[in-house]
Amino acid sequence: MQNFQIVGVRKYVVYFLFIFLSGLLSVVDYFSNKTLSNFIPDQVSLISNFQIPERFLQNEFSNLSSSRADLVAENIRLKEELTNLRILYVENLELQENIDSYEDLIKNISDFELTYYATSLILKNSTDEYLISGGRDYNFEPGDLVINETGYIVGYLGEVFNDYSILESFNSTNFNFRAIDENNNVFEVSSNGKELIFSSLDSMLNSKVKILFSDITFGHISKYPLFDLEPYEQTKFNNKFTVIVPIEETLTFQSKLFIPKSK
Amino acid sequence: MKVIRSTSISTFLFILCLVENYLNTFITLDFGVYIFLIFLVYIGSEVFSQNLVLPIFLSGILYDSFFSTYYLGLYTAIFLVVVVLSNFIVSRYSRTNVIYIITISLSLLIYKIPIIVEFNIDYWLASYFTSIFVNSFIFLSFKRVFRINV
Repeated sequence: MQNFQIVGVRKYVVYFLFIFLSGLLSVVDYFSNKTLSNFIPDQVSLISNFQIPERFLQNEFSNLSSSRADLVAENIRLKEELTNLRILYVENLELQENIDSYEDLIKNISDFELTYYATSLILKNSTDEYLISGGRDYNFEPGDLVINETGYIVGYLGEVFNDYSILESFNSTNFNFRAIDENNNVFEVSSNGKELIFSSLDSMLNSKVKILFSDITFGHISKYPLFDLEPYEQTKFNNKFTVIVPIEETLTFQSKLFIPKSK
Repeated sequence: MKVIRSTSISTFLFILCLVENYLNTFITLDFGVYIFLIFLVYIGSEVFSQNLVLPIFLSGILYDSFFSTYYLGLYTAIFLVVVVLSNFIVSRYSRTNVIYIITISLSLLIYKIPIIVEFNIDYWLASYFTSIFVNSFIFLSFKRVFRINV
């Protein structure tokens, strides 16, 4: 019986060693300021490597021998043209969607001195953070604002890799943001996953808080609206406001996102 | 041969991990379908072997490097703990459906530990219970199908 128990524990020894090794890696990563965890992503462009080559999308009929009967050749040519037209149609739809989203964005922003890079959602990781396309290849940096087509902020970049970035959105575990209102009162914004909590850092004389904005004083590239707090219940204690707003909108693959960068 | 085997299992596990994340990006309801976790529990309860420690470790390192904002090694340790825990429970107690559900519940709790630590209970509790139900159902169905095929 005792022997059986020893064997039972012994089979986990290798696993415990590797768990210990993982812990050790975490400690080294912590003290090296994440150099270790950024090493592999810095070497490999993961997202671009997963793109489907265009030749797979095209038909290979064009390689067929021309000695075939005219009818067959004609059929092939027509099929090829049809395939090309389909590719063009899809491309056209994508471009049209891009134009529409840029048009929507133009209506809602005032700063045209910046370049707006279109980005899109890739996937959501286990800790509910979103991976979005574009990274160091577009000179993105941690802290860059991410806005939607209405010009409102949806988050900021938490980490930037070669060709993708991690977005700290409203329902992300690490979301922490500073914003100001129209009277330059500073607000701290944090998230508990289901609600956004807006707390004023200074004493305020206003009776109500309206729209909050990003600001260059916090290292943001320009002034973009974050949230309109007017419709929500606002509690005032010691002249400091706290507003709790439920997070209703989540990002989808259809969400149009932009990252403003200076030219 | 051993290297090829380890590499292919690591690649398979990493792809499974990717598929899980893709799937959960599509699901907007308050639960998750954790096929990678289910597979880890399956490894722990049915095909536990010391040869699998390296592929699990490598897939964890890849996941930590590419998709996690936490320090390298956190998810790797979580994956390994899930396998050890599920094997421990299943070999200590009888292999009944109740034990499997308990194993999945505890494994899910470990799997979601970064969210559990960061957020308050309101955020994850409802989703946790629904996920237990959904993932246990998938696990038991998968086990039944696999047993029939074998």
